[in-house]
Amino acid sequence: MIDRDILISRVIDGEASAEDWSALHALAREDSAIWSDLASAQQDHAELASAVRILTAGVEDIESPIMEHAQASFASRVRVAASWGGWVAAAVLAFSFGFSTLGGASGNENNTNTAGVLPIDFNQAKRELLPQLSADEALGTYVTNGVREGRVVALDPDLHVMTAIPMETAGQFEVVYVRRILEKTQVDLYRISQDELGRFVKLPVEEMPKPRRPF
Amino acid sequence: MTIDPGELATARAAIRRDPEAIRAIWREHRRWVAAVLLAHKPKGVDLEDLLQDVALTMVRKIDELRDPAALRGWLRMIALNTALATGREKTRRSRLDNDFRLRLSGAEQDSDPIVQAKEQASKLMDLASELPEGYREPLILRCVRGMSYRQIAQAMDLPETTVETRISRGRRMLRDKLAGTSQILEGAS
Repeated sequence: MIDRDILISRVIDGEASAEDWSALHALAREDSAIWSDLASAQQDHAELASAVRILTAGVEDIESPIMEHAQASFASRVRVAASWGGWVAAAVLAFSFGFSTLGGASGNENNTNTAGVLPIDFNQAKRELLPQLSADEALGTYVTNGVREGRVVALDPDLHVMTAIPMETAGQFEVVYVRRILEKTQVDLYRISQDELGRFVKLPVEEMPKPRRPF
Repeated sequence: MTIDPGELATARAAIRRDPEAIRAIWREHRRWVAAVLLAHKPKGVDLEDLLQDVALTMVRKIDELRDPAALRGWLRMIALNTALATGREKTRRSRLDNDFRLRLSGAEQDSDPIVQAKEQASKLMDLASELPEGYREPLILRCVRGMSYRQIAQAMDLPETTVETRISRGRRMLRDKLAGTSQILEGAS
C-alpha cells in the first residue's frame, strides 16, 4: 500500500505510474477528500514554485567571475615571478659586473696568462655573447648599466596587467601588461615667452624658490 | 547513480580550468544552487550576494574537485558552507538588524505589484524555512524547473526514494502550516 502523501506528490510531479493512478482511484472510492487534498497540494506547490522563481529571478545575471579570478591570480603569479626576476636581474648584474671587472683587469686584448690559466679574450667574449642575450637578460643588463650610469632609478617589480584573454589551451591566458622602469636625466628647461617684437623666444627656467618653512 | 555524459565531460574540462567549461557549468547549475541557498540562508541576507560568493569559490577551487561525477554534491557543499558562514556572521549582527527593522516598520508599504509579489513570495519562503532542514531543501529544489528526483538525489547524496519521501512529507508539513496560518488569519478577522 503506497502512502497517500507520496501518491499525491507523484501526481503533482508528473511521476505517477498507471499503478499509482489505480491506487489513487481506489483510495478516492473510500475517501473522496483525497481529490480536495490533491488540489490543495497542487496549489501549494504552484505557489511555492512561483515564490522560488520570484526570489531567484536575479540569478541569471550572476556570471562566474572567471576573468576577475584569472586576472587576480595572474597578478599574484607575476608578483612571485617578479621577485624571482629580481634574482635574475641580480645574477645578470653580477655576471656583467664580473665581465667588466675581468675585462678591465685584463687590460689588453692580447693578454697572455702567465699563471697557467687559459688565456681569455674578454672583449671578444663580450661581443660574441651580448647578441645572444635573451630579452630578460638584456633588460637586466640595461637596468644594471642604467643604474651604474645614473640613468635608471628603479625597476618596478609589479607588472600592471591591462588585459587577459583566454587561449584555446585550458588555463592559458594571453596577458598584456606594462613594465615600468623609473629613470632620471638632466636637461635644461626652457619656457616659451615673447620678446618686445612679439616673437616667440625660449628663456631658461630659473630655479624654483625653495618653500619656506611653515615655522 | 548515473551522470549525464555531457555533464561529465564539461566537469572534466572545468577541472582542467577550461574557462568556457567553467562558465557552462555555472550557467547550468546556478539556478538550483540559488535554491539551496534559499533553503539555508538566514533571513535578511541577500541571495545574490551569497550566490556571487559561491561562484567565486567555485572558480577558485574547481581544480580541487577530484571526481567530476560528484560535481553537484560539491557545488551544494559550497552553497551550504557559504550560507552557514553567513549565518554565523548574521548572528553577530542580528541585534543591529532588528533595531533597523523596527525603525523601518510602517514605512515599508509599497503598492508596486512586483514588490508585493516579492513580499508574498518571501512570506511563503519564511513559512517553508520553518520546516525541518532535511525536508525543506528537497522541497525547494523540486520547485526549480527541470530538477528531477534523481538530480536532487545526486546533489544531496541521498537515495531517490528518500528524496521522494522527504518531498511528500515536506509538502504535507507545509500544507498544515499554511492551513494553520489561514485559520489564524480567519480568527483575527
